[in-house]
Amino acid sequence: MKTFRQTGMATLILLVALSESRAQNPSEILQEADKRARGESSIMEVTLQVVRPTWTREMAMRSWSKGQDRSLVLVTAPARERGTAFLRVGREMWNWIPSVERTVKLPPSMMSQSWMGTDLTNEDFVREASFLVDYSHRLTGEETLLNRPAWIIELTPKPEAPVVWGKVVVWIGKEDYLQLRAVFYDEVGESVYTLEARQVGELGGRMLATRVEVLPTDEPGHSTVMSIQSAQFNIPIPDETFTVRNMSRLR
Amino acid sequence: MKLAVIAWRNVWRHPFRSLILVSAVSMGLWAGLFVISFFTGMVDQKLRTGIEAISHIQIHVPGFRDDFNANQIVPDGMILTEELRDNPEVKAVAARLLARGMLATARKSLGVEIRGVSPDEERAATNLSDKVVEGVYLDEAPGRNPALVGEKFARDNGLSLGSRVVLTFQDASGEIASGAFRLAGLYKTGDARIDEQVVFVRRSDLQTLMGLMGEVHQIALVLSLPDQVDTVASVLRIENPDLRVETWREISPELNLFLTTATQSMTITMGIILLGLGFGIVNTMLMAVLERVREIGMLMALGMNRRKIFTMILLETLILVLAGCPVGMGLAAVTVAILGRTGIDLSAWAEGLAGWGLDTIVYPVLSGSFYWQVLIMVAVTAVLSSLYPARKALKLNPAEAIRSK
Amino acid sequence: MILLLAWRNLWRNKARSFITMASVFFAVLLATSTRSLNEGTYDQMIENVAGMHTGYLQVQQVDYWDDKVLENTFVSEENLLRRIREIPGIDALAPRLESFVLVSTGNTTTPSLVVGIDPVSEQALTGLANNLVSGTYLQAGASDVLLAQGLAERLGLSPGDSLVLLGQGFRAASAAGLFRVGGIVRFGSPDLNDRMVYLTLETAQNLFAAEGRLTSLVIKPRDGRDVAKILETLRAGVGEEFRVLDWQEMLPGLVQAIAFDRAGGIIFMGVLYLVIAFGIFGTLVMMTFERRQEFGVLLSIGMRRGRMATMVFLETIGLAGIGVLAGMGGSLPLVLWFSRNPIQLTGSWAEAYRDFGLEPVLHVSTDVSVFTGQGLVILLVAILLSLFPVYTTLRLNPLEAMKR
Repeated sequence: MKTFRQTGMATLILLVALSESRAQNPSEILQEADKRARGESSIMEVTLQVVRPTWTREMAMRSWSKGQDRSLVLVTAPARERGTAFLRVGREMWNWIPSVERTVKLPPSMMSQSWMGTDLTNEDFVREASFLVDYSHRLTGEETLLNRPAWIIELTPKPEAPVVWGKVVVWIGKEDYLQLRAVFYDEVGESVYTLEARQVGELGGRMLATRVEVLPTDEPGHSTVMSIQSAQFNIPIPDETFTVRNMSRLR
Repeated sequence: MKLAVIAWRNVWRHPFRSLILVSAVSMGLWAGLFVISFFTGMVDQKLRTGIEAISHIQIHVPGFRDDFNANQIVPDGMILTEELRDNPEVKAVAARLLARGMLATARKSLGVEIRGVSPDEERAATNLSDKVVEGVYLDEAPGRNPALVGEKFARDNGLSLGSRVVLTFQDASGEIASGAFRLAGLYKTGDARIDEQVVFVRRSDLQTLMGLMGEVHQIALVLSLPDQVDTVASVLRIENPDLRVETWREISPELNLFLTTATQSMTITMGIILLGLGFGIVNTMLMAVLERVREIGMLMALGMNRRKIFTMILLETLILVLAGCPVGMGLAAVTVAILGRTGIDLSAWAEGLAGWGLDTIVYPVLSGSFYWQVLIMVAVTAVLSSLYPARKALKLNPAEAIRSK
Repeated sequence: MILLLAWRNLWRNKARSFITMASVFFAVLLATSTRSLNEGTYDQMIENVAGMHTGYLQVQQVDYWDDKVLENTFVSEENLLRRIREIPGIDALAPRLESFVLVSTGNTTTPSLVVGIDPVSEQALTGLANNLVSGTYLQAGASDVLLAQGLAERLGLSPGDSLVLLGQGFRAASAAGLFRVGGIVRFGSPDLNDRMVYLTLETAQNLFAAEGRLTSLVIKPRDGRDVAKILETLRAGVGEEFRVLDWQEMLPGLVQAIAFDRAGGIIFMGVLYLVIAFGIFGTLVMMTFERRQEFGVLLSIGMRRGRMATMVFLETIGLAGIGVLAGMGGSLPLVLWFSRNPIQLTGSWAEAYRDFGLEPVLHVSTDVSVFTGQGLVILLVAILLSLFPVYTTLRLNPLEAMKR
């Protein structure tokens, strides 16, 4: 049911930008946003809130990432899930479950399942943001979000690209190339879900979207709120961090 | 001989009574043949869709059907496929790449079985090309990566011709691979387990994505003589000791159970119809004997012995049965010929069945051997059921019998 | 007067009356036993399919059937259970908590359906322990799991080995647990055999962080025919937040299979009626012919045709009525005997049944409607057929008839 794939958590990690520069055509804008967001290492503390009409649930986690291909997420709260870890290398994903002291490699059938009961799916971690490769881009307008002027860019998937969206529309801030909003549409042009930056701030010496909400269009009252508590960038992280063996040693 | 003449005359002396018996026999024969043709039609239809989905024999490496791992390929599968194609007992061969994976659209993610097939092979082996009810078959599709899904599957999940879907599965190295496909056609086989979860794509497209160029997971065989399935399978088992060779019976215990229960109900129904026929004949003959009490008493008084009277009645019955047989068989042949073309729509008798979108029309068929089998069964029933009335006739006391009425 | 005459006529030629009656008697006997065998097969099919897991009736949280997630569970209350147990005709009531999870051993991970059950009431409901092929059945308080055979084989597990269950719990909690395989159960249906994992209810509730919650209450009536009645009582009694489903709603495939088979059955019954009717017709025709002389005499001594036709009609109806009653009476012990001693299948037939985990026996239905329904049909057929002798008497030429 909840099949909001592709960006999600990856986007969270990517909602990061550096200093200013100029870019004019939409592909260059996306390239610049991408360049600022990825290709380096980061360590973040993030809280996650699952909001449902009748209840909410909070989780906290720490994440490590290096380059495009490697990331590791460790759940730090609540107590029941504490120590649970997810490792992604390329398109593969493993889950360490401390209560049973086992590592499970997630099979394809699990990839579209909800990630820890949130509005994200496991697949959201695995897919690299393919905005550049898989889509053609068109600048369609400008709008001000969170008091920031932004370009509106429409992305249409290339015929052979393995993406499910009919189109994606993103709002990229003109000043710092932050992605302020992304709306994902199905083939008939109806929106499926929205990623909405709610707060922008400086963390770890960078401008970041520090609070982002995932809003499934068809389920009013449902959302997942991701807030970055702290972030460090360009810290050397040894490759051994991103191994199955290391996952079990995290605390 | 003389008895036969008397019996013949007796038959004609009571044309109406004879007509009744002839009709009873032909009716029984017709009923029996019709029931068999109906059952055969029903079983054929189910088996055809069932076996078509499975084929007669499937070859995998051991464990494939449980694990569905991408690297469980048949060693030198294409070579084996070509060898099997030359086997005179094999009518058609289909070599397939299979994967369990997900079909994703923007809104849904569905568990599916992906079959990478060769359009030509599949046309010959499973008639897949004829099952396309909307759109076009794999080899007529424009553009790259065409896919076929079941009509019901498409309807249930909001897919239509031209819809773009992303298929995700494990590739040969165990990593997750995916590719975009476009729905070129919708098919309908009538087998829910195919129609609701199998996606057909071209093997040539899938092998690239899976990293399994020129490899296959499954070789399905359709035999020229379906009866030979066990023989052919055991030969193949000896020739390919490292592979698992399975027949449709082994692969689908449900189909086997269906065949069993159908045969069983056919046998029971036949038995009941024959019993009904038997009772009818017994009663009619008993009436006839009652009516003929005077006549038989007379014959006895004239010195005809009981044995001869018994034989006479039996002969009469036999004549009537022989007269009834061609009529019944002819009627059955005509009925089956007509209904075999028009079919019997069961939805007319079962509320709500039409709404299922499944085949509810049964086309009766009858093979020649059944005519003889039923003929013998009906004749035996008729003769057996005339024995009791004949015996009854013999118990008559001649003096009393003449006096009656 | 005519009635009396007709009655006397019946007794005047006992043998003839008896044969006619007998033909009706056998007709009813055959039709009834066929139908009861058919209906019995359906009852058995329902019992086999519904009884194996789904049950005849389920009470669920109102949204669960359409969206099977743990959010749509309900809190098990003793009050509710007691109210349901008090409904007359209920044989067993079993609480369940079901959810899809991954089962994982060293290298293999595969999807499965975890069912948290109360071992005692589940046994009363489905006889789960009877399917045990190795190990032991679930014990209250123990945390071992019961694994379906196909799944166990795929994972290479036997009793004593351990496995990991991994999935989503209630309200976004995670669900993960390490368990020991206590026993292996075998199901004939591949659908169940390849994916079932049973836990005790408490263990499952713990695993899914769904303390005290259930996905369904599964109900088995003492008599399968009471489902509709119990369904109605339940719907009226459990309240808006619940949905009550019967097997027809939960297992549309089974309903369809039965409908299809029944449609075929109707055609066979039609053929059988035709054959039976012919048998009865034969005796009636013979009777009419035999009595032509008698009718001729009656006519010539001044009996009115109408009265005579009525008399013949009454005679036939009388015979048919007695035959039908006798047939119904005669088939009762027959059907009862077969219901006590079901027909055992042998050879390859039995094999195919056992392959599928079914008992290789044929059951008969003892539903009263089978008897009355078939009796009525045959009576109607007989009445229709009695129009022949009536017609003959009305058209009779007395002179010719008396010639003989």
